[in-house]
Amino acid sequence: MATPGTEFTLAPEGMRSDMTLEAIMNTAEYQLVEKARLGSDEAFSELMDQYMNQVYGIALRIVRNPSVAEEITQDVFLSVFRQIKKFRGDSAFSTWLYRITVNSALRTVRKESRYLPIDDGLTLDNQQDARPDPEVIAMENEHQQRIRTLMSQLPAQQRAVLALRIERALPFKEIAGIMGRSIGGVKANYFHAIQKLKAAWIGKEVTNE
Amino acid sequence: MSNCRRIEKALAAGHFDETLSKISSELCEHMEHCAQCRDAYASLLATEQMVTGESPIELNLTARARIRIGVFNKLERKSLAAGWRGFKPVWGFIATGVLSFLLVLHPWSRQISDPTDPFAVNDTELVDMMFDYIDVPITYDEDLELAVIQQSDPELMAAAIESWYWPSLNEYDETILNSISDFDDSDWDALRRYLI
Repeated sequence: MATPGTEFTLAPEGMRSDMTLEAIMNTAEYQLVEKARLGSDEAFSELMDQYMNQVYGIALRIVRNPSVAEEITQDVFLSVFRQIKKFRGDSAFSTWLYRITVNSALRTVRKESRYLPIDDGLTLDNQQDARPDPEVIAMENEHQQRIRTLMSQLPAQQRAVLALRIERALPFKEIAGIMGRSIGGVKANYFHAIQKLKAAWIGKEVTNE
Repeated sequence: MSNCRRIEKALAAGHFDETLSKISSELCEHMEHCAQCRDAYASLLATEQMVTGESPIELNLTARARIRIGVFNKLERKSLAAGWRGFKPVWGFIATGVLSFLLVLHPWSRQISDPTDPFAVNDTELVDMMFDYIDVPITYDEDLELAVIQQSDPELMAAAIESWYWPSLNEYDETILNSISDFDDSDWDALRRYLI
């Protein structure tokens, strides 16, 4: 077991990997996770508030259906609540959380792909809009809607990689860790996704014209 | 027009770092001379920027509240069920066995282990009730009563029953006897043997 002052390589998201254990233990997130591990409902609630957008965003981009994504988000936090005592801190809390999310969403797609109603445009009903100008909103929404429609047609694994890139801008190494795959495999997925989107986007533009 | 797709092959093989724009200098050099690759690369970069430029999804307050409520509702249901979580069926069988043993055999109340003894239940209320049902005369022998209730001496009890004038000896009503529901089959058999 690491002692205070020793190097702790598995730092929470966004932290330098050479931070000392002592420094990590002083971070708000670490303390929050520790409190949640000890059974604090408040800490769990705070963690849920912090990560709800990300979990929902990743799930939505993979399952392509807002109500199913909501259901997955609830189940993910339920799993976190039940399993946080087993969370040993071998990886960052966020990595652990995203792994549960991606696995849960991919499992849903695998199991229910035949029955899952796909919302190609990934409706924006659930989303917050702080932009003031209705015209800008309309234009950006249309643009986003088109990209999301195209993304929703990609294979599930590629959607998962893109979801983690878009929602969290995670490096490929971390995405590979979350998905339990090689970095090369993840990079290949990413490239093929971009390539397909490029081809589809061009096709779409031609069609639109 | 050349048909060079070197850039796409290199990118497909993962020859980039965190974004497609971070490629090797070798590929950069190649693109200086290859218009096909240059165009393909520019198009890929534009698509990547478009995709990664997408804003992360932000839930509105209603959806957040709905998810929170959903989580807490499920947690509540789970915590109710948690009492049963980890309760293995084998414990159910063991508990049932112990309960049955305690309820049926009354080990704390049995001082006589003879299963044929009709009064082998140290329950004064039940014994009184039985005496009422089978119409035992009010003047019945105190020794008999004592033997029945205390079950302290099976021999004395047997002798008392034998010597006792029992007016309802041949008249007992099976339905009345059966109504004493706490008796099991062996108790009834034994009682009949004594009475007939």
